[in-house]
Parts: sequence; structure tokens; C-alpha cells
Amino acid sequence: MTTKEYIESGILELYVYGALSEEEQAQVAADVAKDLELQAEVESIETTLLELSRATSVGLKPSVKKKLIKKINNSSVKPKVKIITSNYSYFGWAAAILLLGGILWLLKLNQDLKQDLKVASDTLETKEVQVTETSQKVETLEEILVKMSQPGTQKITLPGNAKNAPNTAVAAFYDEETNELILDISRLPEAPEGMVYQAWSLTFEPLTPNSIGVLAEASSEGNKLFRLQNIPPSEGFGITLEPEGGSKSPNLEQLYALGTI
Amino acid sequence: MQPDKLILQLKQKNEVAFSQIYDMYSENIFGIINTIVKDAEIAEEVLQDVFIKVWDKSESYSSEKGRFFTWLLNISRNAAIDKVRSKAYKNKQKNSDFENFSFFLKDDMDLDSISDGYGIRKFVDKLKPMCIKLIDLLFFKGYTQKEASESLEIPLGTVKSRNRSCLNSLRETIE
Repeated sequence: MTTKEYIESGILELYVYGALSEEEQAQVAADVAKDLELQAEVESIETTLLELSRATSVGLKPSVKKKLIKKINNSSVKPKVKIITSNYSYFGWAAAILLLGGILWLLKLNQDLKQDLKVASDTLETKEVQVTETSQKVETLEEILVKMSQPGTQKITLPGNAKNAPNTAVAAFYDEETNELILDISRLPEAPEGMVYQAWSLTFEPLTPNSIGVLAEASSEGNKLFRLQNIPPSEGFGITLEPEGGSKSPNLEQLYALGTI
Repeated sequence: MQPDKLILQLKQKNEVAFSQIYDMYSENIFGIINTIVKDAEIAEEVLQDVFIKVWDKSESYSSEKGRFFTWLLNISRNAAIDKVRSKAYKNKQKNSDFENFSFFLKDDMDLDSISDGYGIRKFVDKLKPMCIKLIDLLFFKGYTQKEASESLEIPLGTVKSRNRSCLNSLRETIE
């Protein structure tokens, strides 16, 4: 086929229309690329079609192009992160700081109140313990008083030893039936450090002492009253000064008081 | 002449090249689309879609497959035909009273709005009714020879040559 015949066939027009199959399009493209005359013909056809199609346009608004340029910019450029620095943001920060300050102040206030409450309740607890202790003491003293005034109770005076405790005496209240003994050693001198008074039950012929208690912790402070129980059958009572913890047998060198029933 | 240099720059995502290619072809594309969708507003939407596609898919164009203008034509006609087939379009365009690209002649207002030096009348006056139909189907609507032959009831073998002679009468007008 000559170039003239190729042109006259009308295939170039259809080629520019895009009305041929993909294979035919590629074939014509290859043919045209090799032939300057065909190229000129294709250019001419295209010019005509450009004129014709342009004439059918009712006119595009310039805004369409602007929109398009904007769109392709948006699609190719990553959006920038905008950092807000307007005055409103400062108001926001100020409000946030004030709020934070307020919250901290309230927290502090709350903590102070809790502390005060704890101190008050601790004090109250201490007072309650004191009241309990005091009422226990009163109760004990009442019991002793009742015991002393009972008809079966006999009062025994244990005179002070001439050498160790002259001109004193220990008052004792003994109940034979209940085997109880109450001792008041308030007139004896204060026991020295590391020493303690010990009470003894005595039977005579032969002289047999039995320990009935170490007088370390008085039933009632200040009064130095001791309430001793499970007293064996006795003919007399003695009080000696012994090392702390008490002794198995009395040290008669340190006898402070002795009396018989 | 085909703007090969611009096309290369377009493929490299050059916005200036895109802008120049838009200036070169947008009115032609708009005319083609409008001939199919027959509504300037819809045609404007389709045209935007077409040029977004041109920007996104420019690397798919190869001169070995054909002319750049032909590539643009294919994208435009396909986009316009898709639009016409869409439900939204069918609801809007219940009845259209024009058939081909010469419809612009039916309304004097449209004629006045064409600022182009030639104007469509100059072309249409030169064409026989069969030529208008043939060019309309093959060029504007993207029909194949077989489809055009069936639609216009002319022998398949004569479509190519008839079309050439029709187009020649236009070329004389321009040259």
C-alpha cells in the first residue's frame, strides 16, 4: 500500500478518533512514526478535529481551572499541621492554669482538714484510754474498800523493823475464809533501784516463810495498795526487801515489817 | 503539533505543564463531553473528573498507543458515557430534545455564547446530514465502525471512506 492509498483509506481519521481496536491503533502509530507524510496528514486531521470540538464548547468558566489546580495541589501536597497561636489559646492556657491551681488548693485544704481530724481523733482516743484506766482504778479501790469493811476481814498491823524502818507500820487486811490479803505499804520508804518489797506468809515453830507475792505493781498508784490471793494458812506476815524479781527465801537482814495474827 | 515536551513534564507532575495542557485542550474536551451529557453544568463536573484523571494517570499515556489528543478523547468520552448511565443523571435528564453536536444551532442564545471565531454553524453548514451523524457517532460518541454502520444502516466497508470525505469538506473550510 502506498502512502497515498494509506491516507485515502480513511484509517488515519479513525486513528485520531480512537475508533480502531487497540492493535490497529498501535499499528497505525508505528506506521505514522516512520512516515513524515503520514505524520503531516495526522496533524492536519487533528487540527480539524480540535477546531470542530472547540466550536461545540459553550465556554468554560475560569473558576473551573482554579478549582482543578487547587485539587491537584491538595492531592500532591501533604497537609501542614497548623499551630494555633491566637490569643484565644492563651486564654485557654490561663484558664487551665487557674483551674489547676484551684484544684491543688482544694486538695491542700482537704489534706489539712484530714490532718486536723486525725489529731483530734487521736487526742480523743488517748482521753478515752485515760478514762478507762481511771475507772478501772476506781473500781479496784472500791473492791478493796468493800473487802476491808467486810466482817470476816481482820485488820493486822505489821510494825516496822527497828533497824530498817523504825516508827512505821504496814496495814494488812486478812480474810481467812477467802484466803485474801490486802497490804498497804505506803508508809514504807521507797524501794531503791533494782530492789523490790516481797510479802511472806509465816507459820511458827518452826519458822516457815512462804512467798505470797512481789509488791512491784500496786493495784492503785499513790496508795500502794496490794491485793494478794491464794494465801496459805498463816500465823503472821512479813515484808522484806529483795532483788528485783523476788527471792525464794527471805533475806532477814532486810526485814522491814513483821506482824502476827 | 503534539506538545511532547509538555506531556513529558505532565508525567513528572509539573503543575505548570498541567495548566498549559488544560489551556490547550479544555474547551475541546468540554465540547465533547457536553455533546454526550447535554448539560453544561454536568459537563463541567465531568470535565473536572477527566482532568484529575489526566493528572493522576498521565504516566499511562504512551505515544506508541496513539495521539495524546486521542488518549484525552477516550478518557473524556468514557467519563461522559459513565455519567449518562448513572442514576443521578437519568433522574435529572428525563427528556433531551437534541441528537448530535449540531444541537447548538437550535438555540440562538447558545449560538451567541460561542465566542470562537469559527462557530459551529460554519462547520455544520458544510456538512450533509449523513456526515453530521457519522462524525457525531465516530468522533464525539466514540462508536466503532461496526456500531456506526449498524446505527446508520450503511455498509461497514464504506464507513471509513465516507467519514474521510465528510471530514475533508471541513478541512477545506479550515485550510
